[in-house]
Amino acid sequence: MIDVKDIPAFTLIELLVSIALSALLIILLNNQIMNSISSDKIIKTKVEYRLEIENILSHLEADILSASHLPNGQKSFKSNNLNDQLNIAIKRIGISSINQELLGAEIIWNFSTSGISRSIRSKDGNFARTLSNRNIKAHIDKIGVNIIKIIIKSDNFTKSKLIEL
Amino acid sequence: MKNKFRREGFLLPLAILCILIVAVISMNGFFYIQQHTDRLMQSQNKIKVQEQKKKFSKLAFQNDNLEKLKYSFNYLNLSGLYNLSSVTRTDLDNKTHIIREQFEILKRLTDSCAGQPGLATKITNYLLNYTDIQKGFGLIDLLNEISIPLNVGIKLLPCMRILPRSYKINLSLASEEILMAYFNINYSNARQLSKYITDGITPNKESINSYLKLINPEKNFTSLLRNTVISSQLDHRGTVLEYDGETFAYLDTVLDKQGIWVKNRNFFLWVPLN
Repeated sequence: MIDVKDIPAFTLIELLVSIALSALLIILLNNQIMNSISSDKIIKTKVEYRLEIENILSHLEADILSASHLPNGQKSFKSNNLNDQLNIAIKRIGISSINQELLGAEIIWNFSTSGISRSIRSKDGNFARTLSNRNIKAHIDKIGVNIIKIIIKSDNFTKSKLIEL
Repeated sequence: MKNKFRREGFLLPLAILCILIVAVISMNGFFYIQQHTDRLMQSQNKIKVQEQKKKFSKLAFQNDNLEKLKYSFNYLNLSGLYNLSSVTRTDLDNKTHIIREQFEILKRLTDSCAGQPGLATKITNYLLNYTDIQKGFGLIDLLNEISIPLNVGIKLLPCMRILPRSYKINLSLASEEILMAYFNINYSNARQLSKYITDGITPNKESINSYLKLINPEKNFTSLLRNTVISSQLDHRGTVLEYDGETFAYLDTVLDKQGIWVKNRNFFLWVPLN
């Protein structure tokens, strides 16, 4: 018969302390994991929004890059900024998606509290598309003769981009 | 022995805690790295497109053969085309006016090239708003600005160009159609005039004036001839770039006052990356 006194083991107190510590750690970890998941969701939403805005600004930049020129050699770009609402009109050249021919089009960008939209007027027809439904404020700062800075602001986000005209 | 066993017993929850923290940090880190890599790829592609554009733009200034067989380019002589800047003039008060005689030429050209003489009024009205035409403005820009459908406007490309007024129509390089519209003469006279200029029978403006006087003695051609030059020297050319038989760019270059070819306006419809 084995004498239990000879077997090395934890005392009851030690076990209780260990279980209590483990429980405390599990509670802490649970909170940590829950916080991580929720902050991850928030960050992902912010990153998605940032990417959405960055994509929109890249799209706008591409429109400006393809803009036709004026007799003074500058890009055909008109902007109208009023009460955080921004309208941009660009005349650009592209390829028709219908018959692959050279196509001239007028692109209107609208940045307002109801979101961001882009509309196209060309001989192929008139098309309008909402690119974002988020409440934003936008304005343009003229940095140099040929450089503008477009700034988009929302409640918890500000994004700007320098674009060469 | 007993103490060592105890210490090891407390290590398990600590190890699990560490593993979980590392896992959460790694998950977030991975997501950020993924986003960063995506953005980096986009930026790299953008830079690649810009580099390709620069490379292709240089083709307008060199006559070398292209290294790759799929690429080809053609030069177009644009010096013999009618310069739209001639339609208006700016007075000392900086006001712009239409030159009637030139407007009539433009009407004839838009009629013969695109079958739409009404385009002349649209073009002239637009040009009236600008006292000076700078480099960097092409005919496609003008047509797009006045909202002429480019499938119609494109027919005007072999007939006219738009550059500062100093670029005059080169009669040695002008086609019969341009000569017809410019001097308001019929096709056989225009053909004869073109032949005389090419053969050197009418080598200067005086001799051309004399020939035109024979056709129409009542008309004074002096002011018309003021906007012309007779030279074998090109001052304006276009380069059409093709990839696998498909046009992807049009490069417009001009000879500046120093005799150096400079970029006027480049149009890239798309950019081949390989």
